[in-house]
Amino acid sequence: MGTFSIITDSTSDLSLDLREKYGIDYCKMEFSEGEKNYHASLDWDEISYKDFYGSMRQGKRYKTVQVPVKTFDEKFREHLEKGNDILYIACSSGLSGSINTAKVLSEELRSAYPGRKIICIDSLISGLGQGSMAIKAAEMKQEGKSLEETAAWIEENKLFFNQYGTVESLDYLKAAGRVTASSAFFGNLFAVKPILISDLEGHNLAVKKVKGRKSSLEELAIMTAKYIENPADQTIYIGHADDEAAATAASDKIKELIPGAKTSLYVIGPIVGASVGPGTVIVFYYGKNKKEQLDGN
Amino acid sequence: MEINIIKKMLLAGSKNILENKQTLNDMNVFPIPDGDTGTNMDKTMSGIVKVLMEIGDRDLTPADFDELYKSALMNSQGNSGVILSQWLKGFLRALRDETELDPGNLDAAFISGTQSAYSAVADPVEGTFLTVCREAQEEAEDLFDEDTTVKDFMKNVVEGASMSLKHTPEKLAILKEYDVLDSGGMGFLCLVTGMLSALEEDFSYDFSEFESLKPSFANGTASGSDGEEFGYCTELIVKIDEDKLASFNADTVRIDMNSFGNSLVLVQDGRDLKIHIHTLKPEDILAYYHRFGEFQKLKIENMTLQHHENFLTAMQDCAIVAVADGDGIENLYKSLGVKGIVRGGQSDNVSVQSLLNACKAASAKHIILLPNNKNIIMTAEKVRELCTESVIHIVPTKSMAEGYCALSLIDSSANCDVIEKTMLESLEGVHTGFVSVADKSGTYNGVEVKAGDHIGVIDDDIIVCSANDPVTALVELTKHIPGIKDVESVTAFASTDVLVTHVQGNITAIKNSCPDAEISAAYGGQGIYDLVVLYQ
Repeated sequence: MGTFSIITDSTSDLSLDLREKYGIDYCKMEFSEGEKNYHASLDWDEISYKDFYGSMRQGKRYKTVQVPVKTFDEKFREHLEKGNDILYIACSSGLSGSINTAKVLSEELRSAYPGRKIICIDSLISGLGQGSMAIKAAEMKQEGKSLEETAAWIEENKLFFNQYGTVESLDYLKAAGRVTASSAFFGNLFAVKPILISDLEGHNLAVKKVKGRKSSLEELAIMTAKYIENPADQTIYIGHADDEAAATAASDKIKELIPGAKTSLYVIGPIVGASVGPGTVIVFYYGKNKKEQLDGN
Repeated sequence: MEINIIKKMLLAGSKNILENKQTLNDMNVFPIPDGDTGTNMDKTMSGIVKVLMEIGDRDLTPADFDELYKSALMNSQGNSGVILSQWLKGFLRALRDETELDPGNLDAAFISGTQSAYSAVADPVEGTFLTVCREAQEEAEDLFDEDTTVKDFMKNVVEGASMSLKHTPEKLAILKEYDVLDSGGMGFLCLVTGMLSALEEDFSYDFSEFESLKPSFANGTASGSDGEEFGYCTELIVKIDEDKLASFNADTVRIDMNSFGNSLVLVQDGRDLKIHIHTLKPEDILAYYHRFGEFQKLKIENMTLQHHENFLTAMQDCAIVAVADGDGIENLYKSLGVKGIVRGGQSDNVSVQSLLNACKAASAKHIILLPNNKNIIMTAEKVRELCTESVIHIVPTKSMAEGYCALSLIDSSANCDVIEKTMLESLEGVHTGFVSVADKSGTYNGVEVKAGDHIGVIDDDIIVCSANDPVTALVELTKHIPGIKDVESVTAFASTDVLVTHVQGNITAIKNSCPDAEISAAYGGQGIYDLVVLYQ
């Protein structure tokens, strides 16, 4: 039985440790600032995360570019040449066109590699929501599940991977065109923090406003506790854009509300980071269907 | 016509997309409003240009068609770029084995392009590139008869694309919301307009114009996404002078107009010429057409204003009317969805009549009134009795800071009850501090005050401190706020910009009393008080 490779992209935010542990590869997106271009490495090869977020705090804005066709072409061929089929778990189509590019390219590669399989899944989320799907796929692969079985499970269950996040300012998401919110979220708000979830189309949706940073971090924990399923069987990932203290505060509150919860903190990668801005904290977990969470907010 | 003409057509199409790159970026709102449609489509066409440069003057071979597509795909970037590459795939594959270009096989190539573009998207959305490329071909096919030449066919494609583009906002709601035409569809129009221009006898080209071939992929700014550049909707009817009619060429004018703006509609009927265009510089448009004759009719509208007005009238079931004392707070309130503002406050009490008029002008079923001091709460109660058009709800905000607080957590698209409840809840436990200049000396509440001192006052009546300057008074005042240790945010509205900067320079001193708080300062422009401060 031929095996398959699990590939994600730069918005999956999987650390080197997790990628090595689960044998997951990823395609790099790119970002630029003025004339300067960077590959969106999740290991911060070309710019440190301190410099990246520090420069954003100083007013720099980075523009992001989806996975270039050439990058997909090289990466997919690399795995096909090894004899592997491909399961690509892509950044939400509500945030990036990468999934579409990958599908078009897959058509080309199918004629170059007849009989081989490439399945592209629109994760409808980003960050460790997307990353957790890749981890889940890797676990299924280790259990001996086929490419089709794994892809079918992810496809059927992807709406159960969700996020609660809060940003220091909606300006970054707004400038990047990556938030859905009523006009009320866009006024000049001081010390009011929006709470964001991922909706059914995989957009970031601002669902409520909370007074103050501390309350907003608590709100993430309260909502996670409300919507998580089987907390004992999962790791809750808490991403932060260079604000470890805030992520720790959210983690402490989660552990207080969900006894026995396992949390893992990480630094949000450059693509998600460029869109959400410094200070952002996002909690990712496996829970109730997104639809239920939308109705409840 | 030899098939080699395709080289020129593709070059001219690429060039036209390059020239309109910024316009296309600025129009980009769907599917992700990140302002890169022009850049993406230009990158894709740069792949075409690279191959064309390699081919140079020699004749096209079937293998060249495959190379052209492959290079377009490999250079494509973004959603719009990939869809364009797939349109090119269909278009080029249909022509690869042809030696001549005729209207029949050109039509077949456009059909093939449409099919290929549609198949590139999992859930095709109408009102986009897809619709425009399909309808352009359909229009050209409808007008097709035995006399149709390649040039006629391309003209009809351009007409069809132009008409289809105009209707994109009816098919895709987000375009209507932002008052733009679809950027991808506009890109297709640029492509085919360019292709048509290659059929002109005097067409020439210069490879140096293709700046996108430079190695850097630096992008423009995402100015399209902040919704600022709407420009002017400019419409004119010109009567072309008799002696200039012969030299007037509508096709040339269309091409010229690409550098003036977008959403062009140009109709010529004999000497009558009607033009509609969205431009940032209407004066250039007037100068351009005045050369041909006299204006019969002129209309120039600022679309940015239209946009803001549409934006604000969205709330019809419920409107918010507030009393504001200062231009800064007025702008802030408006940005938070307040529909009617009556200027006034501590220094200048508002009359029942002016508040009633503002409520009438807001014309909503329910009106939420936000006063800004105790006296105005009483005025608002009178208005509630007198207003027959709307149900008046009073949220008793006693300061501009409380007004801001009430507005800060609402979702203005919610219904009136929800908004009112959210406002009342958000006011629980908040305090307002004021800093102003004492006009008489004396001892108040145990605090000794000299005339001209800056005094700190809590919740509108208790004087708690006195100091030489407003910021020192603010720092002192902050210490006296009940429950200050747990305060999460301090927002100071200052009477002048200079004072905003002073407050920002003293955040550490304020934070001594409330270490966890986020301190912000903003320009309020209010009278009487130097500072009005929200503690929550």
